[in-house]
Amino acid sequence: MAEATRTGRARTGRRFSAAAFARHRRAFLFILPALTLYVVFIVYPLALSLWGSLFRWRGLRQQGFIGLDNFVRLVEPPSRDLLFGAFGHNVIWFAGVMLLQNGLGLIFAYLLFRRGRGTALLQSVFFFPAVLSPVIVGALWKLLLSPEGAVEAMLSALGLMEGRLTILGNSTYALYVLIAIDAWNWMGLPVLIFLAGLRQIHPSVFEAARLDGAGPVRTLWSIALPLLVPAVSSLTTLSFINTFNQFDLVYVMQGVAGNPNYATDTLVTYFYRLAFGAIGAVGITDIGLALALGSALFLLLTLVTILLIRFFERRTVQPA
Amino acid sequence: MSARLPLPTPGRGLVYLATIAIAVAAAFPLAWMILSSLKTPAETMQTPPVWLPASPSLAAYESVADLIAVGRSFLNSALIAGITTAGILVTSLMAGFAFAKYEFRGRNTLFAAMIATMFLPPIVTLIPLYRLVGSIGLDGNLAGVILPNLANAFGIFLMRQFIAGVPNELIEAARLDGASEMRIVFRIVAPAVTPALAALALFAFVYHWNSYLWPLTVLQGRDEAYPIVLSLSRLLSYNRSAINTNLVMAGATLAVLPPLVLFVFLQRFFVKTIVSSGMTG
Repeated sequence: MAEATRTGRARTGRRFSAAAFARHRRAFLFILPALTLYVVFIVYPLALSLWGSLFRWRGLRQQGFIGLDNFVRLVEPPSRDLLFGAFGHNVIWFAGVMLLQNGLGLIFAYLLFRRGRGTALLQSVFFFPAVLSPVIVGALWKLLLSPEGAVEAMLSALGLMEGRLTILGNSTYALYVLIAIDAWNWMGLPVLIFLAGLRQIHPSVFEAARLDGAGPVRTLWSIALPLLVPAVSSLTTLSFINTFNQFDLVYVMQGVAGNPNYATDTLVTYFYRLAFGAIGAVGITDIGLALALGSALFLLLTLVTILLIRFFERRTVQPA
Repeated sequence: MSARLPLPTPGRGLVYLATIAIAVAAAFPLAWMILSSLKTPAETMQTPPVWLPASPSLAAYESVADLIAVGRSFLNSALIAGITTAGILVTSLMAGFAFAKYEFRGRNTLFAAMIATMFLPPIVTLIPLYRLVGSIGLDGNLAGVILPNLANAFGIFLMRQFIAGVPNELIEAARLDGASEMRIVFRIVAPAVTPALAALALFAFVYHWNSYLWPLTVLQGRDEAYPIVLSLSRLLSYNRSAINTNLVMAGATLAVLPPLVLFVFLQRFFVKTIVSSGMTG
């Protein structure tokens, strides 16, 4: 402790030299533009959000302090079912994205890695959908999946179904359809990241696996995957954050209420209804509940992101 | 498990076929979008759907311009994405340089505080941010969409990582030549981290060209300020039977072009940056 204070004082002493003062002024000037924007447009609104969640709201007017009442109201009826429904959908969405987007992405990356030729072109093809706006992705798939649409025609031609395709109106399957579309949308990212990771593994590792008689599946699972932990970590964290921010695709394809019957509702679509009201339906805004939900989401995301990063850090294998 | 040799020929063929099939599945919706935009209205209404337009025509591209102000929307999108991207590049480069190359008190604390919000869900600050933008009179205004996004934690993080790798000798040599610090950042450091800047530009431009919720919130109802993505979504909300899908697909194809072109030109930097950012291993 005394040691720390002494070094601290030594540093403070140096601060007064002319050179150090100039250095600090320079550093400050370079950081100033970013810092100003950061404080005004991120820190201040965030503080207002967290603080406002502890107050009663009438319309857009902040009233008395009510402690955690908004949070209590959030987990009580009538909000409870919507909250837990939306939360459940986000959890399923995350699991689905891990499996469909990152799991299949790993397999595709491995196929491309082993194949070698034409990799750059195929990697671009996988990545193309990622430059599309969610609005376009939603509109495109809504048309493709509509009754008498292209997907229905294909399935009928293959003899896989009869009659009209109404899957987006089906409360059991609609969510899974959206998850699959999301996975299609972002498939290029895991392919790109895993492929880059696989290329960083020294060829001698694969050579040794081959000489030991490991087949392609075993090589991927037991040899490559443990060395890909940083890639898995990045993708899991990104997927988690994106999943719990899911809004655009649901809003464009199923409306702000997550049709049918809230079957595709997410935490953010629920937040949007609380904050801005439901468009085209009866809906009253409730800023207090919205801010409570936003704050809870912020705490959840921060906590889980830290836990995820810690979890993967401990599992990172340093190649010998 | 006994395969000591590379995959046998039938296996290789199978892998080859599988990758091609998957690539086709990945590309099909986009191909369908472009093909549909070239169809006649009658062709888009047929059941079962027509795959290839009999006589491809660009008529839909003309008609869509009658329903939404395509030119104006494109200009709005270009302003939003272009200015935001330029702002992010400049603020990230400057702050990244200070964090990487200057020794000053509180450096690590300040850096950590800025990075902590890198994954902050935008929705959390949506309401106060909207009210803040309104209180300075910028709601319903393009400047209100742009201003809050001119600095970006991810950009600062990325620039610091890459500028840290620029040799100090290079910077010292420029100082001895009498170059100002500002000149060093933009003339010496920036060219040395071009791949990372290009990747950041691609990421920022595509993200802000495509963004939806924030412009929708700020611009509510001010059609003439709508970027192309909002104009398209308004087109979609019209009575479906009144609008032919070839029009919607023509609008969508147009809206995709700028980010797609940018992606084609800058993707090699993107890949390079992801590889050296430590995300992969």
